[in-house]
Amino acid sequence: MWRMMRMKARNILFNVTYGTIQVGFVFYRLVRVGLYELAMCGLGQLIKHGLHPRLLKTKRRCRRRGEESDELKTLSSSSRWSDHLPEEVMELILQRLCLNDYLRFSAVCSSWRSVVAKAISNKRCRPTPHFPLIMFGVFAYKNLNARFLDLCDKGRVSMPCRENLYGRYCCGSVEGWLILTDGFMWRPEGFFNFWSPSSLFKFEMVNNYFFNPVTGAKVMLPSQSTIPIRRSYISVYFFVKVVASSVPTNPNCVVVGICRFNGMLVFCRPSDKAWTLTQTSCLLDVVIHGGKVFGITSSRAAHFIVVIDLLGAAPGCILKPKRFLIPQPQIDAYAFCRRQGYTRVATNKDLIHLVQDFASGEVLMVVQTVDFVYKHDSLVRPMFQDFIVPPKVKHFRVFKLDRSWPRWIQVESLGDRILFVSFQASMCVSATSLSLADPTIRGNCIIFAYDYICRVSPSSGCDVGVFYLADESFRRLPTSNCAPSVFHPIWFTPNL
Amino acid sequence: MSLSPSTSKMLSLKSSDGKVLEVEEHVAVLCETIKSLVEDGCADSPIPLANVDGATLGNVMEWCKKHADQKASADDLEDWDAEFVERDQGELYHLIMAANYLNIKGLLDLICQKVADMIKGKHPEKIREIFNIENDFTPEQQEQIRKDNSWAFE
Repeated sequence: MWRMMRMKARNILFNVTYGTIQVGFVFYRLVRVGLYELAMCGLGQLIKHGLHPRLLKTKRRCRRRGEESDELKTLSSSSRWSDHLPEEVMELILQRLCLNDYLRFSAVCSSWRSVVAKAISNKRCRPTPHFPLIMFGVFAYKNLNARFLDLCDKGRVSMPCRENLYGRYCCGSVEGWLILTDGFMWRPEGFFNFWSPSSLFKFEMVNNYFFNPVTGAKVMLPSQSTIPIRRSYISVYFFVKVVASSVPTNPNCVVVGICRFNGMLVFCRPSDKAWTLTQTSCLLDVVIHGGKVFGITSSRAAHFIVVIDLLGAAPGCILKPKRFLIPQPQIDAYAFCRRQGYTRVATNKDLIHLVQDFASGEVLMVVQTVDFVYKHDSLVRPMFQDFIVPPKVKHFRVFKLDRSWPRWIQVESLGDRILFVSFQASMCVSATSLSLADPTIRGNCIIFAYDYICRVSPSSGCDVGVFYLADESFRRLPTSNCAPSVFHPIWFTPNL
Repeated sequence: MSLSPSTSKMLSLKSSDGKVLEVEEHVAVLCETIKSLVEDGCADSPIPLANVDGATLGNVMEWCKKHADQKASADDLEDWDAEFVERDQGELYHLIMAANYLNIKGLLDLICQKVADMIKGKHPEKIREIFNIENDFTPEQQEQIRKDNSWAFE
């Protein structure tokens, strides 16, 4: 009896102490966060208004120095190249420069800078098209910034990023804009700070937005949290791929995304409040052409072309697609996997990419054939397969869509065109528009960049190279100077 | 109006420093500005070109003569053009202004391409040196520019 009472008393005592400590702890955390926010706020105000006497002093000094240089400018005879050249002649020079030179041009003197600023604002002369770069390393959980690989420039790694993109997940790109997913909890600081009170409020905040790494501009999309499905599906990797019809600053821009868990397609405009659902599943890839989405779904026997008209889409409704059964060519997207204990072996599996040629308006289908071996774990289903032998492309086939009667026509030669393919962004570019210096990169070829998670040997998961359609030969490109563990390559053309 | 070489008459062009240049009409009409004067019938007296000095006018007419020659092949012209633009920035400046004033599209494109090639792949400091341009940014502006486009300067 006594013992029982003592036990009870001890329990109560323990609960009370534990509760007090817990409350105290939470209170401490809240106060800390509050103080931190206050301090940051105060500091921000200080910097903004320059109340600190030392800041004031430097401000005054800056102003004086500016006046001095103004005087100097009027005294010395300035160059005729900077002051006397008519604007239209300057623009003739500007439109012959690529993006890097464009930016360096604007750093020469103030009058050249204003010419560039004017040219950017009225969009009269754009820089010459840049050779597509491979952006890599933008992957959630990883403390890495975006890096850009130029295959044309001896694989040099340049860093044009205005903002550190560590911990973001990139799921697509369009003409100079990256399409990013950012969740506080998926950034390293959020991950390690899981139990901090501030993280509780940020847990479901996942932002989806366009980002231009050259100018630093951002255009927000509705958050993926607005998609009405089970919460547990909403991870930062929710989208396999996001495709935009044009740059987000274009008022007609539409965006579609393929969801990872069932291959469903969702759609939105940058000005929308929420994503719109469609009645689709198992989509392998999509392109947007003329207000319509063309997608591919596949079963074991045949594949379908799915067409969705976006023009009449009202927010909140569920879009119904048209489906066309396509018997030819045979695509083996669900190739039989042999079982060998815990591993699965696939041979001649077809992976599909859709690429849009903006110049001719054609929709192209690139089919690559691969073999691979991966570990099959029935208890833990990882989001990404862990390959033992990662896929290496064996062959490419290219088809174009005959829209008058839905069918695929095999393309023997791409002519002047180069296809750039990766999982999250593919593009078709004319070789003559790129003024190529490297003779090994020319028209009628496919340049590919893939990355597969392979924990045994991370570097073997990267597959980057050129496929020449003329003689069906490959040339693999080295990627040893990149971080192979999180390559996650995406084709991206820097632009203003 | 016939512009073939056999029937072409001579035009006299007067530069800003008073020099008079005699040029065949089919050569001079490559300049859109002169062509419109000829078409209006105001090309009898020496045509005054207030913005072009004698040396530059000579160079421009040399280019026009080569390009009016119908016997020259495209490859030939390309080589000749490449040699023609091998000049220092002072001469190029006068040529670009003259080509703009006389409205000769071919020559203007040629020199703009040359200037663009001179700028390509160079650091702003080097570009200033080539074109003799003064850096008129304040150190603060300079720092801001460097920070904004740091990758372009590597």
